[in-house]
Parts: sequence; structure tokens; C-alpha cells
Amino acid sequence: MASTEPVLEVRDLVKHFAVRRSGWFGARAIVHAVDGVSFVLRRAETLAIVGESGSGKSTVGRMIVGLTPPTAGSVHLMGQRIDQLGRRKMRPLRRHLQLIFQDPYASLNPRMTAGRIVGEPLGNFVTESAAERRDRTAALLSRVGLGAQYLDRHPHQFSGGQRQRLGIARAIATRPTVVVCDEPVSALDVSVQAQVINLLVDLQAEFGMSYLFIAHDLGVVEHVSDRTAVMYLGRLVEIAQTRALFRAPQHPYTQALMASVPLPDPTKPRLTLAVEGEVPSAIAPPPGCRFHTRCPHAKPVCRTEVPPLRVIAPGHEAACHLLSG
Amino acid sequence: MADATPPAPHATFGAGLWQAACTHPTVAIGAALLALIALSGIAAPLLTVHDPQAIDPLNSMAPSTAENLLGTDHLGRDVLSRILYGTRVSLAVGTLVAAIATVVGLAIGILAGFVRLLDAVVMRVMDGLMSIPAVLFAIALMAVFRASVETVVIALAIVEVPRVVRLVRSVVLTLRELPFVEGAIVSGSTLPAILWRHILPNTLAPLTVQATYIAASAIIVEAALSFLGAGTPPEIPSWGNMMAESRAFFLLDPALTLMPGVALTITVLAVNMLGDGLRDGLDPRLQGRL
Repeated sequence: MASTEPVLEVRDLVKHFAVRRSGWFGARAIVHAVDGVSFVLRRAETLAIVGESGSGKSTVGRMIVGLTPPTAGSVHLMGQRIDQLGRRKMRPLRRHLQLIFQDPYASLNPRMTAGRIVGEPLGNFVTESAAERRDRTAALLSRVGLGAQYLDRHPHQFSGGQRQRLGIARAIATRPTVVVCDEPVSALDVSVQAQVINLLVDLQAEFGMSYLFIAHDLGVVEHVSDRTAVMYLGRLVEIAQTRALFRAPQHPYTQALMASVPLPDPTKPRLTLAVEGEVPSAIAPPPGCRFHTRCPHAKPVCRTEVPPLRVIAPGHEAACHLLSG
Repeated sequence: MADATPPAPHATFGAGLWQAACTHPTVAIGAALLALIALSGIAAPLLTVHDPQAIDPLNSMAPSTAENLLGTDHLGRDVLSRILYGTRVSLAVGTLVAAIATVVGLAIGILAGFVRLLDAVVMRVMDGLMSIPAVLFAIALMAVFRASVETVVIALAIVEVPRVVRLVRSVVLTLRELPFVEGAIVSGSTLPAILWRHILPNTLAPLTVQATYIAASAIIVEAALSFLGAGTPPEIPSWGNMMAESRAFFLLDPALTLMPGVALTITVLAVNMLGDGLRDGLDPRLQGRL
């Protein structure tokens, strides 16, 4: 279903946050949240970004939609560079680039009705007429599985899943080309997650949107995404077709990540990988390959040289010295 | 995970006010008392037949009679009618100062919270204004301009504005980081629309509470200024003036000084009750506890 036409491209995206370490006179420290991430999102494709908390995946999403200014690198939407546009020039492009938030509680204004929340992007881009906006809002609500009778309710009168449906309705209101889904189901009950995921999949089939799907739940990712990118400490370590990545993960970190997924059948033998220790601090990331401190196969070169992302099979890239060629 | 439903915030500000009045008796009592006081000030000509400024030297320092319910002062003026008319000055000063300080402070606070370049400059100016004592500033203004209720209002409003600015700015700084404001940015709303739809409605609750405290403090400071002779001019009956004029006769008839003081105390108490009740009733963190 996905074509090869790129709709979103990020090049060497970097985000460093300056923090002060201890007290007023403490040394300034820099958190390397994202360090040189590049990828392409194609039309009608779902690209998942997975990684542990602190891997920088959400920061990538926020930089793409312009909520966090990148330290370096560029973001291109349908061929146009958007990361340096000011608020004013960015505004008209926002109808093509939307965001679904992780927290369905905090992302909806508690004092606004469902109709006004979903109608906000419509009023900004689609129609000036209040009556038309109301009709379209009602249609959007029913499209995401909420009836028009919910128009005048306030967010606190909805359940978590229903609130996330409102967030989805708001994001698709302008028929965007790209939707960044920032952990859209991780705040929801497991029983509700599947419904929301299926809604997202159905909407993509209907409108042909591209999803950048940020998640840490590999089960969800395997179900929804065409391609998957794995992040570790601010860097991409592997990117491939989802099926290939899940069948044969190449990077040692990806292998460890896959091995950590709980299996439905506990008696089944599983690949155990000895990955020990904690994720190193992003304030002082390890030199060379960032995974070398925990990698069971680390060699001397891993400690000094940064492994670039290399094509190891058609459509399959990994950043590891052990996988050269 | 998402089972813990956070307390439902009030959908609209008006609904919040109404619910606060219903659940917090101090709001209802304070508001009722205040309404009564305001009514007695407005309807003063109907409640008394005496001109508060009419001098009757033959009937000075008279005790309570059917004709003069609370007696007369050293110039033979009816004390009850002076207290009733004095309500007008106190409430007008309290309301006007609160309204002016709130509106001006809201505008400056929102700008300071949203425009980074303005923030540092505006806040230093506000810090400077805040260091000026209200009474001293008012006396200085009186020395430059003529003594009038308007000058009192302007002086007190200028001193109160920084407090509102600080409050609004801190609320705006908190709000602008919230996901629903980011959601509005992503939805393509312009800055004025975001301020109007998302920021302003969420500042009203703390602002209302702050306004009541400003009103209470303005009423007291006005009385103090009038008592010092630097506030409401003597031709207008006000509680502060009454206390100042009757002070010399305190040993002869302490009630002359005490009665306007009691009126002042009840009024400020009513305003503070309203404010305290609203603070508890409108605070989303305290909701659901009663």
C-alpha cells in the first residue's frame, strides 16, 4: 500500500538540551537527547520508531511538528524545509502535519466541548462557517466512533479511550498528509488499545495518511507498521521492513529488545541475550557505539568509532561494526 | 492505567462559580452579606431622610433617638446616614481598584508570559512598583494632584497591578507547556486565538480570587488614607473620614469612632469570606473533597 514517494524526511536531526548539574554554580551539562537521526517517511506508509524511555523518540516527533526546535539538522515536509520556518510561515503547513498526543487527559482543554476541540483545526483551515463546522465536526466524531450526541460534552465526561478518539478526530480533521502518533495508546487500558489501533489503521486506509508511529510496545508496532526504526540513546541503530526486523533483528540492541518481549506461551524456549546494566546517561553518552557498554559482542573498535547506518540487506540498515557488509 | 479519573474541572467559569457557591457556604454568606452592604449603600437615600452632610450644631453629639438612630456627631450630622453613604466610597474604591488592577494586570501578565523578550523587562518594572508602599505612594500622588476618590483609586490600582501580573504570568507559564496548548499550536491556531480560547479561560479562577483580596485591601487602605487626611476629601462622607473626625471626641463618645470601624470590618470580612470560599471552591485540586 505504501508508495515510494517521500512525504517527510529528516536529516541528521540533533537535539541537545542544556541543563545545570548541581546548584547555581554547577557545571553546565548537555543532554544529548537526539544525535543525528535521519529517515524518510513515504506516502501512506507507517514508520514506527521504537526505543526505551529516554531514547529520544518522542523528541524526534516533537521536533518534526515544530514543538521543539532542533539543535541541528533539517525536517522536510513534501520537499519543503520546515524546521526553520517561523510560527507565521509554519501555520499554513500545519494542516498537512498533525500530532496525536500520548496523554488523552492533558491534551484536551478541560473547559472546551468536544465539538469545539475537534472544530478548532477545521475553523483554522477548512471553513469559516459555524454551521458547516458543526456538521463536519459531527461527521468526524461519528467517523472515530463517537456519535454527534457527544458534541456538547466536556473532556471529563469521556473515558480515556474516547478522549483519545477525540484527539484522533482533531488530528485528522484537516486531512493531513503526515500524522505523528506519539505513543497514542500507551496511556490506555489494554482492552481499549486494540480498538484505537484498529481505528488508526482504518483511517489510514481511508485517507492515505502517513503515520510516524512512536511507541515502545513492540507487539503494537509489529501489528501496525510497515517499517520500523529502533532508537538507542538518541541514535538510530536499525531500520528495516517490520517483518524482516522482527524475524531477523541484526543489531545486538534490537536482538536484546526483541528478546525482552514477553511471549504468550511461557513454556516456549526463547532466545536469551545477556544484556546487562542500565542505559548510560545521555549527559555523557559513551564514545563510539553507544551500545558498547552493554553489548555482549563489543570489540575494541566499538569503543572508539561511531558505526554509521549501513545497508546490510535491501531495505535493511543497521549501525554496527560487527555487521559490515 | 487510565482508570484513575482526575477530578472533573468545571466546564465553564460560570458553572465553577455557581458550584463553588453551592458547596462552600462561605461563598454564599460572603456574597449575601456583600450584596446587602452594596444595597444599603445604593439605597441610602431611601433608608434615611437625613442629608449626611447637613450640619445641626444645636443637636450635636446627640445620643441614639428615634430621629437619629445612631445619634449625631460633633457637628450634629446623622451618623447612620453618614455610615450608609460611606458604604458607597468604600465599595466603589474596592470594586474599581480590583477591576482596574485585574484588567491591566491580566493584559501585562499574559504578554509577559508569552513574549520572552518582554518578560525580563516587564517583570523588573513590576518588582520596582511592588517595592513602593501603597500608602506612601498614594500620599505622594495626593500631594501632586488634588485629593479625590479618583486619585485614591489610581494610586491603589498602580500598586496592585504587579501582584496580578505575577499571578497571571505564573499561570500562563504553567499553561503554555500543557499538551492542550501544544495541541492548539499543532491545530494551527494563531497566538491571539490560543490566548483567547485556551489561556484566558484558565486564568479566570485564580484571578477572581486575587481580585477579592485586592478589593479587601483597597477598602482598608482607602479608610486608612482618609483617616490620615490624604484620601477621600472631607466633603464626601467616608468611614475613614468619620473615624478621623470623631477621634478627638473618643472619650466623650467612643461609639462615634467605633461604628464606622465596625462597618469597615464587616465589609472587609464579607469580601474575604467570598475570596476564601472561591479560592477553595475554584481550585481544581481541592474539588471533590466536599
